[in-house]
Amino acid sequence: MSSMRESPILQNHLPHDLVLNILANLPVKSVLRFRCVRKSWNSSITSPSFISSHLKLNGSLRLLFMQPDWIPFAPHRRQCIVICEHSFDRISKFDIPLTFTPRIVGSCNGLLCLEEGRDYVYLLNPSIGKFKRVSTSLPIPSPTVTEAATGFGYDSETNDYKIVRIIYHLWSPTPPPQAEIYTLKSGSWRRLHFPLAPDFIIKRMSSFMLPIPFVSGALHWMLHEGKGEEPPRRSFILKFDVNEEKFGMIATPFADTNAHCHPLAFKGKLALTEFEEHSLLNLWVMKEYGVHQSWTKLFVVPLLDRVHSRFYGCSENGLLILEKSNHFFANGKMRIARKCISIDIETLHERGVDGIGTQNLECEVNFMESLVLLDGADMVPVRL
Amino acid sequence: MASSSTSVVVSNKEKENKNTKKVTLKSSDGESFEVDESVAMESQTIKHIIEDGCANNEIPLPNVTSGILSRVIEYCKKHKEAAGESEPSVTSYTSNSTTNPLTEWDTEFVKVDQNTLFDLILAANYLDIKGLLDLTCKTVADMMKGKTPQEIRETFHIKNDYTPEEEAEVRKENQWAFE
Repeated sequence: MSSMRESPILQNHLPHDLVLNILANLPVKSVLRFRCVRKSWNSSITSPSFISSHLKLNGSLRLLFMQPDWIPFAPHRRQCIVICEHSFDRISKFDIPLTFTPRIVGSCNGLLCLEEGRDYVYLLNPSIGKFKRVSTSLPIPSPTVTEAATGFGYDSETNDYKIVRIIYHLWSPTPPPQAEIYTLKSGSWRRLHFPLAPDFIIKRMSSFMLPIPFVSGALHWMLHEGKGEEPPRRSFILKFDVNEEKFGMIATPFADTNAHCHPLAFKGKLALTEFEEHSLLNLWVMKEYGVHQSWTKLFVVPLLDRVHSRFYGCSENGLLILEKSNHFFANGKMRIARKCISIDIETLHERGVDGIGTQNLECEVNFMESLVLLDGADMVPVRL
Repeated sequence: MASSSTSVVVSNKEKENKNTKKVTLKSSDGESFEVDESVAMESQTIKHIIEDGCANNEIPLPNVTSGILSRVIEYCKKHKEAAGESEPSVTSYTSNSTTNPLTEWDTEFVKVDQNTLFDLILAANYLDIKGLLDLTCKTVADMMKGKTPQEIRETFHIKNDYTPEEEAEVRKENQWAFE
């Protein structure tokens, strides 16, 4: 097969750095397999620079769905199904290997951040089968009226992953809300200054089950302020710049303290869903980050009350993920069949997300496969 | 593809009509190729040589044989043409990532034997032509996807320097990647 070469330099032999260029194009599974080829490949593959260059080339968008596993005597078990964002082909399926009911806080560069109640946070890279447990440090004085809001993001300047937690009390301004931050590089928590007015009462932060969006280098929670049983007086977006480690405020484009709005990421921009009277979903996009006038109502999606029964999120490229309930009569009873659908926000084209099933879907996040944390310390290997 | 026996001297004076400005590239096996300067400048390496004013006669490329050089020139010509024709892409909220109009042509271009493919990678690297390097690397990666480590060693003529125990351990750590 090899032909004669006149120049001795041009042999069928690629230098190591070109080999790495090639390897960086491979999917995670292949890369992991090729750790066995030779030692220099193994040490290159597990190096931070390779992990970063692989991430840049391999960021194919996926959608990850989490739902109960329905294993007898293990009601906490959850499984995740990963599908291609474009074709909806199934990419992988795995169980979350933990002994509690997890909640997905966020997903960043192929890492999932999961939390259990208020005490533990976990980082999991299911593509390489490694996870790390992080215990939180802020004390919870009154578990019944204390809530925790958590966010997970990536600091591009230091190539570090950060978890932010805000502990707040529902009915009184004292004790005041507290915040802490964990960085993967430091391996520890550190208090943060939480700069809200002393008489501020947080009524509610964000909404259950929807992950906190990480966009424009910041985390964003929906914060509703108000007193006790009254409806919220004011709502705004609390943001946290992950690089600068500072909190800030972003006002919503609408004056109403709408209880049904969620911040999310849309094509790399901060967006806000606004549900109008169960029949319309408006998507506002902040075209210029931080500029209030740039809030633009880009899309309006008609929804059917009681049919579009639950909103799970919106993918980076504008696929709304919803639950659709089909009410019908059978055997003299009213029954409901639920399924997971996507609606393209631009074309309004509806597609069934097959393979997710009619089980109770809990959560949907954007996802990608990566090697992140392959070089990490204190990672527990896990069989997925 | 081969030029006539007389090589064309490139003038370093500024010419208004850039379309006719040519350079001559000489392969390792002594063949000369006359190409438009703008096409040759798809290669950052050649671009620097020209800009540094060192391209008086021919530009010798001792690391690239004529067979490979002619293919590289073909790639550069095609991509330079396409860049000239296409309209600047409009940023739109509703479009996904920009699609490469030459995808089909590129796919056909890399349907070559493995030796040629590796030589194209080396040439693209030496000549610093990003598009060609990315394309060829991705092509080799696609070929590698389903293979076993042993098959990869054969493809790249690599010796296994793991002891059997060491290899078994790395394999065990990533067991599920082999399924």
